[in-house]
This record gives sequence, structure tokens and C-alpha cells, in this order.
Amino acid sequence: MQALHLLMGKILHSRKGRLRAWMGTLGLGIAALLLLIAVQMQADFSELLEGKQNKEDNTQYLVINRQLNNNNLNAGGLREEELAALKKLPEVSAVGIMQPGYFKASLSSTSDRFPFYTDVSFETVSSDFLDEIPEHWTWQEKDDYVPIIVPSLYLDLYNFQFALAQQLPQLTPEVVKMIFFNIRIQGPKGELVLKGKVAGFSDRIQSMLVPQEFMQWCNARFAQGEKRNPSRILIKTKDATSPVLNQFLEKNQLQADKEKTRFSKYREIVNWIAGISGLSGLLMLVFAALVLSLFIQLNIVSKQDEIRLLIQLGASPQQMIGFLMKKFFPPNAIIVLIALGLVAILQYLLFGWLQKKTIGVSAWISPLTLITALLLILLMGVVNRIAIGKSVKENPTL
Amino acid sequence: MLIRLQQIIPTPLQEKQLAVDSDIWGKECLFSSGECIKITAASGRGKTTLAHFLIGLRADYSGTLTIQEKKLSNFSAAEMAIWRREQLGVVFQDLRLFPHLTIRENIELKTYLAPRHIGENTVEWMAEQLGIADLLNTQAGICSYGEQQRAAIIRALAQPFAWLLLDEPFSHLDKKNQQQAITLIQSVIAQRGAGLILLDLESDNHFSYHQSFQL
Repeated sequence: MQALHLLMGKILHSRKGRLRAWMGTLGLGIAALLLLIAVQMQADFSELLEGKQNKEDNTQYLVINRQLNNNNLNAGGLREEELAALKKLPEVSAVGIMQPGYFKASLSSTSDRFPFYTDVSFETVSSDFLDEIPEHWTWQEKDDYVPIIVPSLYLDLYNFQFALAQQLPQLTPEVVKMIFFNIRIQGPKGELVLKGKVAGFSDRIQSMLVPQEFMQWCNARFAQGEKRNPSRILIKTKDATSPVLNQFLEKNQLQADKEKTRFSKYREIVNWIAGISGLSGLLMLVFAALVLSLFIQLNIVSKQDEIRLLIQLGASPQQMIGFLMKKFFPPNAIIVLIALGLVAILQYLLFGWLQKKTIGVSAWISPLTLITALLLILLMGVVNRIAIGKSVKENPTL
Repeated sequence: MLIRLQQIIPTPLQEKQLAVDSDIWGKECLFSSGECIKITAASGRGKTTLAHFLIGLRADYSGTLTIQEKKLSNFSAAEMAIWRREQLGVVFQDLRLFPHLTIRENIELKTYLAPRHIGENTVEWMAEQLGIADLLNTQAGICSYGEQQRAAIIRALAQPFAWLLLDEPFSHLDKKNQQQAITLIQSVIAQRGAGLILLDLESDNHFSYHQSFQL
């Protein structure tokens, strides 16, 4: 068989077809390289945006409420179906209801030496969503005081604006936590004065929070009006910039912390660019497969006399197809493997370059790129087999 | 291996009334295994056309051509390949060698297409018999037509066959080379018990013919 293929190779070998063969091979190589780069880019984008290496501390909490405009003022909070749909989003790992107090409340000083008074409102949320859980974060009727979590921002406002303007002493968080004050609760069913104390500060939630037990007790005793939908919720997400999540919010006229979701638009653009580069790579591949198929057929047509004589002398279609496959397929497969090797080198260089910028991508090509290369080789085999089979079987001497 | 021709008339010759005085066109002929058949015809009577019908290169005829009672026109591509490489040795009138292959490569190509049928040194021996041993490694394209004709005869003999089809095989050979070729062909077909079909312009006594036809 080897001697026969050597002779057939000599019969079909000619100088005039060599340039065409090189051009066809080069075209195939460029197309394979483009496609594999596009696939690897997609894998790198995914790793950058969703990979563990870059997402270790990326769990974020977003406070979500309805976008207010002139048409939906006092229209109510988030509907049950919106909450159910939100829970189903893969980007959302947990949803916490921020339960408001439906009663009037105020804080005032217990001492005439440092008098203060302010009206307030409280909210509560499951402790799973707190950035810092105070030591005694619960409440019972017999307790001496009500623990409260306040935004860190409030203390900053006091220390760096109000205290300076009013010539009052600045206070550390520890000092604030030592101060007791009166909490006055008022509702249609009466009023009550309790002791309260700041138990902790939150960077995450811009609201005055009380334990859930206290909120339930107060709402049951002092709430005004009927029960309403929650006006704010808190979600836990590993990807605050997810275009899917942000499109959902936009569609349902909801809004979240814009600072945290700002990059959603950029990510969408990046996804589009990656998609377009993948699509153009695929189109290039289809084009290259077409050129390759035409090249093989042209090459065979240019050797028609020799092939015809081989068939007249008794070469079977299987012998011809076997030989022509052996002649054309391995170089094509090698081209794809070379393209894969180039992508692997480029990926390693990219890894080194991005590492200096503390951006983590894998040093190796992704399994998807490898699978694509194998599929490409398979596709080359099919294209070769069809083109050769067609050319041999169309030979008039058969 | 039986070859039967029944009322064969080539399509291009149908209007020429050539069938009227032919022993083959439009008649029934039977070539039995091991027979030597001589078909004589002047130019333009369709010798090469008949050769191409037998090889299966053309099928533009009316009537029926069967090999072992199976229509040649119904042969599959694989069956046709076996017919050509294992059952029918051919010397084409126009030789049909690959000009950029050596004489040896042209001959050995046939021995590679089918299971090898001849001994290690048979090609050299045949080439010596026909006086072209020193040309075996020479490109066929630069050999004389007579040398190429002898190479084509050896190529036909180097493959396995039940029939040897020769289309004006000695047209460019002198008497001495012609006789050497005839002797070689006689010895090989006798050794293999094969049949021979010789198509030529003139009558001759090169072989002991069992049947002779005028085309």
C-alpha cells in the first residue's frame, strides 16, 4: 500500500499546483487560528468576569427598590411575582425582605447635659444580610434596651460635618455604643418609651436597623394601616454587573446601587464584542472550509487525466479515496494543531502580561478551545472526504 | 471467463451501415476462456471503440456485452476496478503510460494495484526479453515510441489477467522486436491459461487463433 501511495503521489505531484496548495493551506491556517482565538477569548472573558480567581470576594449585596417617577408615587412596594422572578435569576443567591416599621418613632437624649431629639424610622432584615452582627442582636420584652444598627455614614456625617460646624466633640464608634437614649414609639393604639443603644455600624445598609423580634412586636402593637408589600429588598449576588440582572431591574422599573451596577453596560459591550469575534471566526471557518473544498476539487480536476488513467488501469474508488484522503487530510489536521499551538503560546504570553497587572487568567488554553480544535479536525476530515468522494465518483471513466 | 457480444452496434456507427458486412457489429460472438481471438479491421471500423467497450471505458452502444453472463454496463465501480486490474490486461493503442514515471514505475504500478502476481525479478526478465532492461529507470516520456510500446506490453503482462487485450500492439516494432514480444506474450498466456484478443489492421499468424473476425 505504501509503495502504491508513493507512486500515486509521484503521479499527482506537480509544480504548478504547489502555490495553490500553499495558499489554500495558509487560508485554512488563518481561519483556524482566528476561530480558536475567538473561542479562547470567550473563555478568558468568562474567567475574568466569573472565574473564582477574580471573584473570591465579589459577593455583593444590593438594596433594590422601585424607581420613583410622577406616575408611581405611593404605588406600593415590590409585588410577589417580581420577588419570585428575582429569586429565580441564577445571579441572585439570596433575597432578604427589608421590613419597615409602620409606626412613628423618635430618639431623644436621656440626659439634659447633651440634649437631642430626632424623628426616625426603623427597618429590619434577616441577620444573614448584615455585614457585622452585634454581640446581642435580638430583643425580648424583658430586655433593658433595644439594640440599633446605624449606617457608618451617619457617624461620619456627625464627626466630619456636624460636630465641626456646631463645635461639638467628635465621637468614636466605641463611645457612641456606650450612649443610651430614649426611643418613643407612637401609634393609634398608644405609645411607649424604651431605652435604646447603638449596637453596631453598617457600611452595607443605609438604614436604621432593629432586631426582627422588636419590629414584629412593635408592628403588631402600634402599626397603622393595612399590611403592605416590602418597599425595599436586599439581594445577595456574586455578579452585581450581570447584564441579565440589570436588564431585569430595568424592565421591572426597579433600581439598585448605581455604583455597584455601573459596569453592567461595559460587560454587555464586552460580551457583544466577544460574540461578534466568535461569529466572525466561525464565518471565516465556513469560508475557509469552502475554499479548502474548492481547492481540493480544483486540484483533483487539474489531475483529472492522471486520475482517469489510474482508474482505467484498475485503481478502485476506495484506493483513490484512501490515497487522496492520506494526501490531503493530515496536512489540514496538522495546520489546525499548529494554530492550536500558537493560541497556547499567545495565552501563556497573555497570562504573563496580565499577571503583572494583577489580572488573573489561566496560563493554559481552555478545554473548550481544545474541544473546538478537535471538532475542527473532524470537520476538515468530513470536508475532505466529501470533496474527494465527489470528485472521484464524478469521474466519467467510472 | 466468457465474453459474449450480442448485437453490439456503437451509437456513432449506427447510421453508417457498417454493421452490414461486419462479423462483430450487430452479430452474436462468444469468446471462451483461453481462446486466441484475432479481429482485423481497416482504420475507422471501430477497433479501438470495441477495445474501449471491452475495457468498460465506453458504453455508448446498443446490444449487450456480458462478462460471465453479467452485463458489463451493470458492473459497479468496485467490480469494474477488479475487471481491469485482475482479469483484463490491456495494451492501449496510444499506450497510456505516465510520462514522468520511469518505465519500471509504470510497470510496477500495476503490480501494486492488485495483489502481487509475479516474482521478484520477473519485470527485469521480461524487460531483458524485450531489450529494454537498461531503460527501466528512464522516464517513459523520453523513451522512443517503440520502447514505450514494449514497456506497455510488459505492464499488461505484469498484472493478473484472464484475458489479454492488445490494440495494435506491434505498430512501432521492427520484425525482431515484434517476434520477441510475440514469444513473450505466448509464453505468459500459455503459463496462465489466459485468452487473447488482438485487434489489428492486417491479418497475421502471430498466434494460433481459435477465431478470426473482420470488424
